[in-house]
Amino acid sequence: MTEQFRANTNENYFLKAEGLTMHFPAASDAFGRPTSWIHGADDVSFAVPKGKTLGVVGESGCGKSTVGKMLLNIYRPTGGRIFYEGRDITDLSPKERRPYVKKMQLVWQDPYSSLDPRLRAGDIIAEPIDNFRLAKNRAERAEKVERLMKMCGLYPEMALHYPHQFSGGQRQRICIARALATDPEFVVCDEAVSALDVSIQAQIINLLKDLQDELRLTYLFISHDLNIVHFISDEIIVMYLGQIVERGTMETVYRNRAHPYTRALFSATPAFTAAEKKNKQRILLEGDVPSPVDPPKGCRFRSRCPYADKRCGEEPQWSEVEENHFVKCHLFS
Amino acid sequence: MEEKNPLLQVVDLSVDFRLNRKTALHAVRNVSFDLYRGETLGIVGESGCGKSVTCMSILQLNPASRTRYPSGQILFEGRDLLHMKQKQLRPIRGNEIAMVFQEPMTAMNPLFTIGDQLMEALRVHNPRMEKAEAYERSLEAVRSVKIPNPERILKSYPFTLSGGMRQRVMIAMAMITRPKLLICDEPTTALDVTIQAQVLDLMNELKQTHGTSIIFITHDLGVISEMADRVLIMYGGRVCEEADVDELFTAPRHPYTQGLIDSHPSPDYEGERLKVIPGSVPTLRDMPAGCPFNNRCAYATDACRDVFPDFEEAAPSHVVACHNWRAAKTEGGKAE
Ligand SMILES: Nc1ncnc2c1ncn2[C@@H]1O[C@H](COP(=O)(O)OP(=O)(O)OP(=O)(O)O)[C@@H](O)[C@H]1O
Ligand SMILES: Nc1ncnc2c1ncn2[C@@H]1O[C@H](COP(=O)(O)OP(=O)(O)OP(=O)(O)O)[C@@H](O)[C@H]1O
Ligand code: SF4
Ligand SMILES: [Mg+2]
Ligand SMILES: [Mg+2]
Repeated sequence: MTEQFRANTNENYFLKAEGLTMHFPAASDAFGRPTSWIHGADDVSFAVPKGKTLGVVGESGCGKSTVGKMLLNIYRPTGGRIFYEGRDITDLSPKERRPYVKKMQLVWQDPYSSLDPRLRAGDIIAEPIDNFRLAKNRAERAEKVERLMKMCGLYPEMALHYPHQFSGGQRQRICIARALATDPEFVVCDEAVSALDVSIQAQIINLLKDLQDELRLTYLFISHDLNIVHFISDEIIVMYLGQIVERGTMETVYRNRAHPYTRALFSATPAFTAAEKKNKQRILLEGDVPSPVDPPKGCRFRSRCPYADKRCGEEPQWSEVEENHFVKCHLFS
Repeated sequence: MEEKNPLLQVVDLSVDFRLNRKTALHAVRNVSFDLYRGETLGIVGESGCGKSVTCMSILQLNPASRTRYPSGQILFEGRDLLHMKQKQLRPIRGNEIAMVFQEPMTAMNPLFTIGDQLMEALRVHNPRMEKAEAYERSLEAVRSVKIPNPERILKSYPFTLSGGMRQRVMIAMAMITRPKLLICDEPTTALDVTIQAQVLDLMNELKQTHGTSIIFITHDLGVISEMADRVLIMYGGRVCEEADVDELFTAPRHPYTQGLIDSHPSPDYEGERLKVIPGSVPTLRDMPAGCPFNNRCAYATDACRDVFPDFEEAAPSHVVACHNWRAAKTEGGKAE
């Protein structure tokens, strides 16, 4: 089933990860040889079709950002492969990689620290245009910046302003405009709205959705807000301690949560309306997430799982609970 | 619960911060609310709307040299805390009123073990307490917040604990003197949802067993919906709406409250786009005259740009400060 899980990642995929693994050295001996490893990500496999959004959820430290960074070549995976429209892009030379740097961009959490305070908004957005020589002359550059700003709901006059003159939501719009300057096809949104006020988050989510429709963008959408992930994603992966524990289309996973961790995670999200509150059955998990340094053998969720038994000392295999809905748990094998 | 008098009454509180000789920031304006015994009051609002400043005022924790209180009283069992001397306030702080902050590390001393800090808190409260008794009480406090292996925790230093553990220790520390009022300023914002669920569950349990009154600050409407009995919605330093929690979510009356609730993607929401509140929160310096929400509000009229609206009763124990609340209609909630 593991093979099937890896292979059965949607034939008409656009971007595919196969067994992606990232181990960081945690401690080393006198000769600098690592003696223990942080399991940032282990055997992560998924595929995103073009123009769709793959949501990534899971608790702090479970490896969400690590997965995003491996896709963008910020981290060099210690195992596994990445395919972009069928081409293996895992080990490209810098020259071969260049077109993919253009096509794959990142929008991340902190709209405050990710903008250089000394640059004007227009120049920030134009940075990638200059790097990749995407404009023939100053007029074309200005025109591009203006188009990007309008597209992201900013007034072109604001091009001359400095970051501190913008609100948090506007700064995040600048980050998005900058990420779009190279006409990317794939964008990793890593907690892209988490730092924003509630009333501003919805604006940015709408913007991301509109841009996706307009430009046929494919997103990897990382967030700890399950309601937002549910709203924006077509497919979802649930991660725990470096591994995917459940994967499927957003609706099947939402309706038919299989893995005990997925169930607990969704049930822990505070209910919003009175109706939701009434139907809610909270599954409280004991204890904390164990350390990712040399994680426990067997099922990694074992120490907190209400259903854990003897079998769970062995690593569970993948099971397909329904079409295209996979879960890694002994309850289903 | 039978008590008729509120435990805490905040009356017409306004807070200014002096920036320099000429300018002062009006951080909080005319905030009033009552809190009864055993009740949880939630305060919601966006960053900078004055939630923390309001609560810091209760214990005079705003920086004294720069803070002025142009109006207001804060009555705790009838005593006015706002005009008390620091010396009189000291025995109340941490004993009758305790606080839990968002980032527990800042409230703990990294150089002392958890046990030392808990015992110290007890002995400040009661200097004659024996060491052995303080130890027992500390152990019990840590046990009461459901931390496994409490003996070991008492011997550990704060930085060796996970975020969820630290926050539970903070709650243990705050609850150790059995305060009548617990003020929680975003106590779970830094935590993961499954850990947050543990902490919220624990707080509700403590409230039930000890009848503690709680003020709970957050910007997460979901958390408020699960924790609070009554809710105060703040915007731009002012209260714009106050109601019982279920009433607030089913029949929000203020256009801002309605916008907040509507912009939240509930799991059964089917639309393609989210409803939004246009524009962004003005800073305190460019807060518009009249109703602070008027530059983002779909119902704004001339009156809104001139005067701040009076509170009107939209339903029993449901007040709203909006000139046009009768016209305001929510789409997500069920206001008729
Ligand atoms: N550069 C690095 N060096 C060493 N360890 C790292 C590095 N980057 C990440 N890790 C570790 O890998 C694990 C996964 O981290 P990651 O940042 O991917 O988590 P995350 O799911 O994004 O968490 P969060 O929700 O807190 O952002 C963590 O234990 C983290 O400490
Ligand atoms: N010590 C201070 N000196 C000057 N201004 C202050 C001070 N403390 C708070 N303020 C200002 O008062 C206003 C209200 O701040 P407050 O901390 O109460 O906001 P909040 O509602 O708690 O926001 P958040 O959700 O970000 O914590 C803000 O504009 C803030 O910048
Ligand atoms: S008072 Fe006016 S501006 Fe303020 S919320 Fe009501 S209608 Fe809108
Ligand atoms: Mg991350
Ligand atoms: Mg605050």
